[in-house]
Amino acid sequence: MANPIIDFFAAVINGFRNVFDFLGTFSTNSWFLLIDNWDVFLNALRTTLEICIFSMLFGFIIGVIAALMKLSSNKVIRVPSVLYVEILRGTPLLVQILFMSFAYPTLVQQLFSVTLVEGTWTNPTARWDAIIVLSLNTGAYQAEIIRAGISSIPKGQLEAARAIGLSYPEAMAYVILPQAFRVITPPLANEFINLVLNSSLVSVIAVSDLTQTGRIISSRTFRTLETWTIVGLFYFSITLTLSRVLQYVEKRYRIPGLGIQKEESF
Amino acid sequence: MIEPLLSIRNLEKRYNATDPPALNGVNMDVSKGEVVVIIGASGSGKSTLLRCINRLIEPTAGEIYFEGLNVLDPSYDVNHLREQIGMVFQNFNLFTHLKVLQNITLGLIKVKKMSKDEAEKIAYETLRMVDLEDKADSYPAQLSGGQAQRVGIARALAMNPKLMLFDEPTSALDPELVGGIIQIMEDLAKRQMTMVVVTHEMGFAKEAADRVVYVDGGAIVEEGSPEEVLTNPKHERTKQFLSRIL
Ligand SMILES: Nc1ncnc2c1ncn2[C@@H]1O[C@H](COP(=O)(O)OP(=O)(O)OP(=O)(O)O)[C@@H](O)[C@H]1O
Ligand SMILES: [Mg+2]
Repeated sequence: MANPIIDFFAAVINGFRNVFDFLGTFSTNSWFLLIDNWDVFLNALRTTLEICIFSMLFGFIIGVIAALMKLSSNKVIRVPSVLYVEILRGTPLLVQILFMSFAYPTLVQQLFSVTLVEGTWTNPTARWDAIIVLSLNTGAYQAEIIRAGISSIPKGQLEAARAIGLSYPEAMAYVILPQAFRVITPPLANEFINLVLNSSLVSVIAVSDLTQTGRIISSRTFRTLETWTIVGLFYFSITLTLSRVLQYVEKRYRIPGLGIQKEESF
Repeated sequence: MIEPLLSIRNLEKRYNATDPPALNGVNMDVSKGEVVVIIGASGSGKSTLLRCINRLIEPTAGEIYFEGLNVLDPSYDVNHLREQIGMVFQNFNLFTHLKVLQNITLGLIKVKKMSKDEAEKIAYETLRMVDLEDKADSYPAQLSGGQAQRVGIARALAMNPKLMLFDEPTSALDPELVGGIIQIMEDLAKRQMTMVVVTHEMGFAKEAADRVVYVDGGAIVEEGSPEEVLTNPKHERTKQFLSRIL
């Protein structure tokens, strides 16, 4: 006889039993796969960090240059930058990665009759392909953030800087950019975190980053749950550290009158 | 004849080809040590005129001579011109990310190529003149309007300029803070600083100006001593303007 109340409790008990079963797996040695593969995971972590740090750095440099170009009154300087930002922000990162790894060598071959090694499992340049694509991608987003930051600085600041005799580049370097960077720390931090998360896509071109390594280990051990939980935790620890560090930096360099003014609350 | 420090000839500025010009044939001479006060209604072109002098705005026609040299000549170094001309803004425009002291030393170090020590020594001296030594370590956002404008003046003065331009230096201030700024400007005038001042403070004009210039529609309508222009204006437009602001 069907009794909804009994059914309900049965479901609840069943649910609890599943949770206990799941927790039980922690006591079995299946989670030791982290320890067994510690070196492999560590290598993967290093690869992911390396790719992210280089891309962040290059992307930032690209971003500053593209932002300044975008603000130029000279069309010849402005248009390439606008095109770059629009194209990189208007196409999927995955497509950009595949393009860099597979289409770009073909393009070079057809244009210059030079054969590049194609993006395969053995491609020694895959890591650099990844760094280049991620740099270009994040550079476009950062350019937009930096440009908005520069535009948010009141016009009077540039006028005052020029009025004491600073040249335009000097005024940018000593007055406008130091202010703009303080204003954009939060969105820039956000973009850095996005970059770390997006970097998992480069696993499709056989870069042995965390995601790629997770795929290898899970197919070797068949411990998908454990493997992907561990991989997720690795990413989470990177982004958590990153956001804490950037929060600290923001606080450390905060200046009254610039950026988000935190209310004295809580 | 002593040649004037600043000489403006047939100056014209058009922001847009379709609009009437913001400046329409301005001629003006400023001698060394002279204090010129520019008055005129909103939109008459006072700021435009002042900003053309240090080329924050590029005039569309005419000539400007500073110490006898045509500053609109392509070979004239605009940064060198600005180094010699101090400007004080209505909204202070202090560098938000720099402390008061660094607001003053930036130009000394980067433009005048002084050492940090030299620059700070001058900065403290200048701050003493505007009575703000104790605020050297504050950020602009931590200052009152009156204090901020005193720093604005100190920043310009520290560069040891040959000419000071003031664009409505007191009009963003609360009435009780205006007097302090006017006092500093009157002291400067007494010490023979050459000044071109856009202001509606008629007290300052009467007290300190050698010449008052009334601007309307981008042209100088009337000029003369403060008594002549402020108490006995010849032109109908000047009379109307003065009756409105007095
Ligand atoms: N950047 C600009 N672009 C287009 N037109 C401008 C610009 N700046 C000023 N103008 C125009 O030029 C004219 C003169 O402006 P200006 O700012 O010199 O007047 P002002 O006498 O300083 O007025 P106020 O007392 O309000 O400061 C006005 O008609 C104004 O609309
Ligand atoms: Mg004005």
